[in-house]
Amino acid sequence: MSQQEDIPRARKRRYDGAVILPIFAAFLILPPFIKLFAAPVTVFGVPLIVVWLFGLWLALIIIARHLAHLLTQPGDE
Amino acid sequence: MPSWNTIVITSLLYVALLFCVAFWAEQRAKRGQFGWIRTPWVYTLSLSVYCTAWTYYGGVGSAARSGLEFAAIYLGPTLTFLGWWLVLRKLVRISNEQRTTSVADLLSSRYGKSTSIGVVVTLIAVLASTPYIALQLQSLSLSFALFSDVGTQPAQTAFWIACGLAAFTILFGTRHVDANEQHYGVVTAIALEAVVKLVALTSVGLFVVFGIADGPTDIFARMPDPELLSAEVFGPRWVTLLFLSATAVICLPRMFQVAVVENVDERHLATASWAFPFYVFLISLFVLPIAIAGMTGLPSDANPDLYVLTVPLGAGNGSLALLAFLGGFSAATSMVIVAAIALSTMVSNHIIMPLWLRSAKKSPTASGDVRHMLLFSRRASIIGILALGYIYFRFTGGSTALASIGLIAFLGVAQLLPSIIGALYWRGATRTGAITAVIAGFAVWAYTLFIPSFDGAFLLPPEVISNGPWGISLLRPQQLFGSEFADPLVHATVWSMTVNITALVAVSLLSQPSALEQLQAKLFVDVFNITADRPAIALQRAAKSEDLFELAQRILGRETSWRMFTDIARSQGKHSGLPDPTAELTERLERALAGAIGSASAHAMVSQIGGHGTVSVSELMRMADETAQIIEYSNRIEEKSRELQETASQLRHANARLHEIAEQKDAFLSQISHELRTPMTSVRSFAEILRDGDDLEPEQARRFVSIIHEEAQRLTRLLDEILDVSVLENGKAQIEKVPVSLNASIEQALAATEPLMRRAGVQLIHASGPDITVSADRDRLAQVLINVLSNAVKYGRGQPPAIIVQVSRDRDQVQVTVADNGPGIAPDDQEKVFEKFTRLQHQTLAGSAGLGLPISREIMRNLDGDLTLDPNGPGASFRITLKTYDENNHTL
Repeated sequence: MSQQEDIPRARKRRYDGAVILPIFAAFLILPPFIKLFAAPVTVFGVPLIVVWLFGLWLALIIIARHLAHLLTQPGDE
Repeated sequence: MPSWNTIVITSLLYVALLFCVAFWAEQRAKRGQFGWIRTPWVYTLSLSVYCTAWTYYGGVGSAARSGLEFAAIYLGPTLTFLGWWLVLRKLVRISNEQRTTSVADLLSSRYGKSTSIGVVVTLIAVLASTPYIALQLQSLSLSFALFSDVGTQPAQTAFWIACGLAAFTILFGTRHVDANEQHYGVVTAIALEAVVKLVALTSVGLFVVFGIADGPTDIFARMPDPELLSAEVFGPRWVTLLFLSATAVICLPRMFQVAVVENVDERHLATASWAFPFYVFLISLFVLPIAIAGMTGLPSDANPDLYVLTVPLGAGNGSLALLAFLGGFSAATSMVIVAAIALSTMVSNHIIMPLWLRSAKKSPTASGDVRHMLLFSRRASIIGILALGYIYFRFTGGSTALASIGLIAFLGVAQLLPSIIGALYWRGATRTGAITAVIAGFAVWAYTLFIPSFDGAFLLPPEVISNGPWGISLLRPQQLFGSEFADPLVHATVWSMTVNITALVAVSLLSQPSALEQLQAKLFVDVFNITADRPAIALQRAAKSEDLFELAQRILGRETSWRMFTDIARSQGKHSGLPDPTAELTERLERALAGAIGSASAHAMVSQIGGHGTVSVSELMRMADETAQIIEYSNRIEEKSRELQETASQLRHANARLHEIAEQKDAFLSQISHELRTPMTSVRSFAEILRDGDDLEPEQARRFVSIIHEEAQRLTRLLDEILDVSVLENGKAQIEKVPVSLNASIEQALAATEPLMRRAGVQLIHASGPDITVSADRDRLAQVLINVLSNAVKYGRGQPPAIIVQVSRDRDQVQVTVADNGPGIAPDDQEKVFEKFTRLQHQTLAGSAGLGLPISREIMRNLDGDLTLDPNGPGASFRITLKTYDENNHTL
């Protein structure tokens, strides 16, 4: 019983996630925030900003992949 | 270093491979064996057409000049695809529903299948894309020139490349006219090129990081200027680049073509939502290392835009340079091919077709083969577009203007964004608003960015750019109204978008959409709500199935049309022949045609056969009016029926009364004949005795004669009464109203009835009060009183019998009550006593035909009074109402 009730809520969460993800991503790569990482610091010899930008990029891709998988599950249309 | 011949032969072999792949995919698709051609992976790879030669070579150049700025060009599309659920999904759903063929078609379809907006968008797309195509030709000719040991002519190289691209595009882009405008051959070839691009750039990157340098740490340690990665770059220009590149994925004609038009399955979008960002992530991963290697390892005068080629060449790795060259070749050719397909579709559907339709003027079924015409116009458009690109390259080639054209083109097509977003989410956006917005935004773009980018060589001289037209400094193209932006791109973006969005909102709010626009707006904005069960809204048109079939054949071909029509006929329950020309048929045909020739032309063609749809606003209003009228009618009918019911019940009542009256009449007739017969019988018998009786004694004879006289008198009285009733009832009686003493009248009546009362032993209770003068006819009033009194004597019969006579006065009303102490009158009979010829309990008393009370009542009513029965009295209690005599009243 409880599982049946959970399905629409879980689906709603996915929809919300799909909407919030690009907004969240935009916030992370837009000026006030991204400037924090443009410091002359290196991580294992690689500048912090490069590590941050590409690391974030990859993280977003992984989240998007997970979300796309959830959103295309059967019965989700 | 690979020789010139190697380069040319490799290129030709590569092109041959592309042809083979495209042909093979096309053949498979034709047989219905799609296999992996229709997988999300091919779709994702085909999206890489975003990465042109400009980004392939130019990305590294940009990284060498301004550090991480290049990443914005790839992060923008990443954002758009991360947000696929919001915009792209809706766009793809709508395009599949509406069979959209291009971005111009999307806007034209949404804004009322308008031809004008299609023309405007097409012109803008061509204008913005032509320099872009020229840029690809330039980068191709530059990269070729790099390898040539003999002096080659860049113009000549570009010319042959343009010819080859035109041939490929025509061969695989216009093989057939399809109902959904999908090109499996081209898409598969583009996907292959995407892989080549990625492999080439990654190989160069890996070579730089692990071949030239000693791992990532080493390559970043070689960075010549740490300032390259400062926070400086994340300023307004960073935001603008993100916005423009995010927009370009939707608005660029070639991106719209691969992302939306070529999409065969919405679920592919879900895969692309992370796979395409991953692709561009990989593409950009090695851009910075290659740039660093170029800056450190090559002479300072080397062109940073060619580092991808020159870095491996400088390191002596010829085969890697060849691979890098193929990557750049792929990037440039795929862009040109897809752009040419997208633009030619737009030009032929939105400019050539409408012109041809207008000039033909005759029915499209009767004139030539539309298919043939369509293919010809597509092919001519492709050649035209590539020719334009080539000419542009010839005139501006090598100038710095061309290098920056990529972003300028992005902003040019971004002028479509507000109208697209309005099309998807705002039902109130109108055609006029969209056209105004696009034209205004484009004009600002041209004035503030495009024309100044020629540095005074085109249209605007340098002094106008620096001082403003006619020296008006407020109108300086790059400092509009004195606004200070460090970067012309940011300046142009802010101004053009402000003007564009303002125009869209303001003009949309001020203009009226047509009915078709409203219909399309609903289909677009609510696409997710209405896909499941298509709405019943359809234009009602009268076209013959034969004509529609003819039209479909001309454009879609015999086989496809036959399949489609059989399908529809079957769904209508017909097993043979053409389907019925329902609104659904015309609508489906229109959508199928829209997939081939664009919605506006399809609409125009179907309308030419079937007449324009009839869902106009006035029509809708008329329908609403009709409903209101029907409601009103039904209300009226209800009222009528209610009235009729009332009348019927009244009639039933009247009928019952008539029955009763007829019965009374029958009773009266038998009564009257009896009443008349009794005296007549005695008169006749006594008359016979007198006639025959010669031996009668005189005294006896006298007695008989007096009986005859009495009976005759009785008869006369009876006839008088009957006459009296009819006269009174017809209102012909002459009753005068004069002052009469009431007491005198009562005394007169009492005197007249005194013998009767005495005989019956009735006790009279009457106290005469002060005299009242009433308005009456003296004799008639007496007659009424006598009648009532004698009735009281006759029917009272109390033990002992008594009669009470009372007089009371209430202002100008006088009441005389005559009551007995008898059994009274049963409630059922109380009204009947005033009816003619009624005698209660059928009692017969000599000398009365039951007309006394009706006559009395008629007299009283003629005197403006009344005679009523008081239902409360212990016995029968009659009340005579009279008016007091009043001078004024009388004279009136």
